[in-house]
Amino acid sequence: MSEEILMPKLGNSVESCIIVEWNVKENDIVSEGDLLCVVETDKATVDVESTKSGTILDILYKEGDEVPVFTPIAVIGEPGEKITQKDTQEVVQNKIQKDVHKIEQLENSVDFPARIEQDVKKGISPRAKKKADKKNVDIHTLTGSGPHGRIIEQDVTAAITSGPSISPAAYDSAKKQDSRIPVQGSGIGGRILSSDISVKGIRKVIAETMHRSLSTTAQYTIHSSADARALLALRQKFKESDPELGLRGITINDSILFALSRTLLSFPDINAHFLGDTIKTFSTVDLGVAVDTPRGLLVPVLRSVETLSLKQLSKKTRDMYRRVDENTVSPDDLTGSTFTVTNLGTLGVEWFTPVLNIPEVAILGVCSIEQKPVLEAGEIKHIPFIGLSLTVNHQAVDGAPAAAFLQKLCKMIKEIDIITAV
Amino acid sequence: MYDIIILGGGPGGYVAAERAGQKGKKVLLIEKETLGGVCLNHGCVPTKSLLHSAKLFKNAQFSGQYGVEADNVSFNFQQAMHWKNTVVSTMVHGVDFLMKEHNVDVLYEEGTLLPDNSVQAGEKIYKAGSIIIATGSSPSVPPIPGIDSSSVITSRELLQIQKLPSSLTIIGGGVIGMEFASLFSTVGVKVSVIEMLPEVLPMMEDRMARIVRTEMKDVDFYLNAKVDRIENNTVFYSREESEASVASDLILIAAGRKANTGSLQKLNLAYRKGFLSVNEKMETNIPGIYAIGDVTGKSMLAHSASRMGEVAVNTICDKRDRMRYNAIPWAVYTIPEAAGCGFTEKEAHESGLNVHSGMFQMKNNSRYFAEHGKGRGMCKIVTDAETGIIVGIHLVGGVSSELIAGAAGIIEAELRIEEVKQIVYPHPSLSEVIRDAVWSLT
Repeated sequence: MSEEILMPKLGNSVESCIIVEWNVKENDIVSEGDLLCVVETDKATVDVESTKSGTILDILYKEGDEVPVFTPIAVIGEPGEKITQKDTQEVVQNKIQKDVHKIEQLENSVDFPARIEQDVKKGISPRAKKKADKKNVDIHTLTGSGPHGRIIEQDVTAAITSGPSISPAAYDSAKKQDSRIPVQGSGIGGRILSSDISVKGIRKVIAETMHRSLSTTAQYTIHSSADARALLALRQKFKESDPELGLRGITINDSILFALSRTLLSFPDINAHFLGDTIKTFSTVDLGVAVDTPRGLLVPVLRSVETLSLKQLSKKTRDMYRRVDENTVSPDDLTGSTFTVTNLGTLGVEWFTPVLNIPEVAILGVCSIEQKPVLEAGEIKHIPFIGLSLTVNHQAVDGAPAAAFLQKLCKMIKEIDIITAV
Repeated sequence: MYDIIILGGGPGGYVAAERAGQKGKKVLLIEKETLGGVCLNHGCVPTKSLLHSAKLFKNAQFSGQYGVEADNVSFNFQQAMHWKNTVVSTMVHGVDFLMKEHNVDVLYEEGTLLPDNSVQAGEKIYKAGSIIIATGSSPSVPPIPGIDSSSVITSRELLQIQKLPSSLTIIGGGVIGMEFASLFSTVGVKVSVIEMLPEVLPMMEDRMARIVRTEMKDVDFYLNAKVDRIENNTVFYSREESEASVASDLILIAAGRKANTGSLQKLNLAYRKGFLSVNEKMETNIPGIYAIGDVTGKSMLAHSASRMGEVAVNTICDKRDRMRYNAIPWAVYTIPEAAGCGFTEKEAHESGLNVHSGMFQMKNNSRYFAEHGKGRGMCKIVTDAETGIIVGIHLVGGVSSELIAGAAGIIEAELRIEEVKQIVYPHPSLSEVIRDAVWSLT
């Protein structure tokens, strides 16, 4: 009796995954626990293992397809075994759903002229589809010459032979990312070059999320700076402290996160999600921390930071960075933050405009420490100040409460040595 | 009423005229002097003719190791100039023929652009749907005290002299300065080159520029030197805060070129650093007016101008095209020659690439060794380490100027190391150095 392998649910908020790579092909013999394929959620890459021993009878989605969770992706059984009625029905159902989904996507896209959308709706022959997949031809750019405008194999062949040439580097890049190959490139005679291939995977997710953030909210950024003398002195003391206390690794960033978690507790409107018709506030502080990785930006979440001592917070942060480095963070580690922090100060940025991690209502940008001339007791002194840039969604929070929050945060940082005792 | 009026008959303008004529457009080409422009009449072509004479003279004297000995070899400058003039007039005639063949009307007048997108030439006013500005450039004469001395000339006058000077000082170690230095030093003129930068030929890989310079053994180079003033036939320059001077029969100014914009002043065209501003379709800020070649200040090479002319004509004819500058080959016809295409290693670094480069010495190439012995020629390949895409190819030695066309094809096609390894090069030929430099990368 054949059995379906389902796309696993890789985290509470994950609704679908992209198949990055198949490690098996049809008719391969696999054992339970063997690696079947690698899939990517919007945040992480995860291996999918076989839940049954047997022969791969069918692979239902190709590399690059986005598949809803709990959807069959492959069928395993005995060699030559017929796939049961139930399986086939479901497979067909899934394929239909997938095509409908694709057409919906297409209709939502404004990039393609209406004529082309029509053509895809009119269908494509299996042979044409196979060839298009193999040669990575974007079927949405084809005009069908079959009955009722159906795309047939010769349309795909014509597209391959009559279209502009593509450089081998561009072809590989498109294959690797499963990106669509554009109709026209920027090279000689419209030759498609690697710079013409659009990005996908995590880069694509970041591109879409950031664009949605800017296009669906009313973001504004306010800047301030906090007296950093206590912050720097505390860091110095930690560095010189007895190694047995385990405080030497506490960074300036840890102290900022600590001050932030305590401040957010008294500003529930800032520690919130804007959900269109409602604003959801949180009594715990789950901090998203933006981390630059070779694969792109990741935002792992530190949970219930308001309950942690500075030492505990520092350790938890370090653990999280290590797991990000080793690429062992789980998708659940990457979702569900109530507020996000991004730090460009270590790269010398004096102020910037962070982009909201929607649906959160605010994000804090930590900037560099700069010397500021300050009049103190009739004397001009140069005092180190740390810059803070707060982006807020005006749909949820007005300017005055946001400014009051930032002012309070500056005060907390100024008195960081006192508040760590609280 | 014409479809297209082209101002200037150099390699930008005449190629644009030819292409437009091929497409059945009614074209008027307005040229104030001679067809072929600076390149054919006062630049690339006459210097190549004279450099060929110089190379033959050198080979006749120094081919003993190849078993060829000649006595009493002399250089007949008048005959070399006569041959140069024959070459130029034959080629100009060829351009004239091309214009007739493609039904291009040629008018020998100075054309002035008028505000209503028409052109005044002599007494008459001509109109067209599109106008292509291809007015080119002239030597720029820096404001050095004494530069109006009668000993000071530009490349244009130097190509018209009647007899060889005994000595020549060249201000500027760019392509023009270096080619003249190579030419005149080879035929026995005492040549000095004064260059402001630490090395000559700034667009070239440093190491290769050094090879070209040090191979020109009879030339005195003064690098990092700033010319302060000229008195009669003496150039005073300062280097590391000390002043020195060099005296010579003639002083050549080869310190860059400026756009010819005198005939465009009645229009409100946009400029960038003294050159006409254009987009990748060669459109200026005024609809219907296009600009190509040296007047745009982008890639001041004859073949770039021709390609820009084609892009402008395609744009006018609604054929999709765009000007790309990343794969334009250049060549310096000194003895030895040098050529390049794409990024130098330094440029590739600056553009943010993770660079991987390979090198091959030409003396290990059998044809090169047979013909040059242990010369210092080399080939360098610059690649993007992440993708293996070849982004630059640089050559010095032998007929580098001929090899570079193949290199340009590789870069334009965005080929990678692995693909170039599969291209077959004839053996024995100098072209194999490209393949060998690619294989040196693994």
